[in-house]
Amino acid sequence: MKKPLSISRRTLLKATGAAALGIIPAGTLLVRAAGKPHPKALQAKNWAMVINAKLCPPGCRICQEACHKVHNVPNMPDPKQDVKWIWPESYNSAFPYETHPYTDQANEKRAYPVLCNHCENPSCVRVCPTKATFQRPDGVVMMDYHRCIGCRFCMAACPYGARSFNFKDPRPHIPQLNPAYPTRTPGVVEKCNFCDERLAVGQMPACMEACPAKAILFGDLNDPASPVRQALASNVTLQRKTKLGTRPKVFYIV
Amino acid sequence: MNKNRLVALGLILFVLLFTFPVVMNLGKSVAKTQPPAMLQDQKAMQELADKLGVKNIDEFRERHKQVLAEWKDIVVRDGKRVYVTKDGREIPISLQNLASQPQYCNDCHDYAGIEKPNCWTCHVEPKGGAGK
Ligand code: SF4
Repeated sequence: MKKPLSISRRTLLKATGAAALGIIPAGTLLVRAAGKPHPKALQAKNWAMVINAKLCPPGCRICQEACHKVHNVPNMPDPKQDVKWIWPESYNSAFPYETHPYTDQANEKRAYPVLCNHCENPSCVRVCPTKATFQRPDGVVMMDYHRCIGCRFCMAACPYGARSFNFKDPRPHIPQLNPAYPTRTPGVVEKCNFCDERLAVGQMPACMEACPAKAILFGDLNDPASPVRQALASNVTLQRKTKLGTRPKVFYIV
Repeated sequence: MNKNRLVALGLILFVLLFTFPVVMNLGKSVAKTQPPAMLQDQKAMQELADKLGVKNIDEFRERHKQVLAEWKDIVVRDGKRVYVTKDGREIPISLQNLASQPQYCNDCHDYAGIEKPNCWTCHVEPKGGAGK
C-alpha cells in the first residue's frame, strides 16, 4: 500500500505562499545607499521645454552643435548609422498630423529643432526589457547605458525617431572629446537626456544656453510661474504627434 | 605494438593540450607574484580609500565594485552627485577624480589576474598616466 503524503497539497501551497510573501518584501525593501544632491542642483517637479521656432534663424545649427559637443555625440560617416540628440526637421515631418496641402509656405520651409520629448507617457520606457530607460520623478526620461542591452525595442517604440543606435565604436568619430561626459559603446542606444548632468550641478540645458535667438525655454511644467508655463499661457503651441498619446513635454510655437 | 604507439602518441598529445594554458603562463605568473609597488604606499592607498568613501584599502579591495554600482545608481537614477558614507562623510561622486591615476586600477587588476576595468570604453580615461 502507498504511504500517504505527510503534508497535504493545501498545507504545502499555504506554506509556499507564506514563504514567497516573506521573501518578496524583504527584497523590495533593499534601499540604495544614501546620496545627496549637488548644492547647486536645479530641481523641478516636471521638466519641460518650449521652442519658439519662429525665432530660429534659417540654417542655424548652433543648438545641435552645442549639444553634440558636450555629450560626445559622434559624427558617423555613414548616414544610416547617424547618431543624433537634437536635429532640424521640416514642418511636415515634425508635425505630420498638423499639415494640409494649403499650410503656410514660409512655415513649411523653416527647420524645427526636434529632440526626445521626454514624454509623460513614454512608449520607450514601457517596452524596455531591462529598465535601462526609465522616467525619473522629475519627468526626465533617462537612460542607464550600463543596463542597455541594445535590443532597440525603444527605437521601434518611439514615434519620433528620437533614439539612435551605436552600430560602431563612436570614439573615433567624436571631433573633440569632452572628458566630463562619457561616450557610448557599440551596441547601445542613446538620446537626449534633457541635460540631466548639467541640471544636477546647476546649469541649464546646453542647447538653451547656446541658442543666440533665445528660442528655447526650459522650466518646471508644474510651476505656473516658470518661463515654460508663461510661454504656454500666452502662445498657441503644438506638440508632436499628440494623437499617439505619448504626451510630449517639448512644445513648439510655430 | 602499433596500437601501443598510437596510445602513447595520444597520451602525449593529451598531456600537451591539457597543460597548454599552464605551460604558456609559466614565466608570466612568476613575474606577477611581485605586488605592485603602489600597494606599499600607505598614504596613496588611504587617499584612494577616502576618495571612494570607504575606511581603508582593505575595504576598498572588498567593496569598490559595489560602491561604484551605488554611485552609478545615485547619479543616473536619482540625479544626485554626492555620496553619503555610512559614517556620514560626503564624497563628491566622480570617477575621473577617483581614478585620477588609472594605472593603479590596471596594475592591481593585473596583479590579481583579472581583466582590466572596462570603465574607459565609455568614461574618458583621466590623463594621470594612461593605462597599459
Ligand atoms: S520622445 Fe521617444 S525616446 Fe523620448 S520619451 Fe518619448 S517615446 Fe521615449
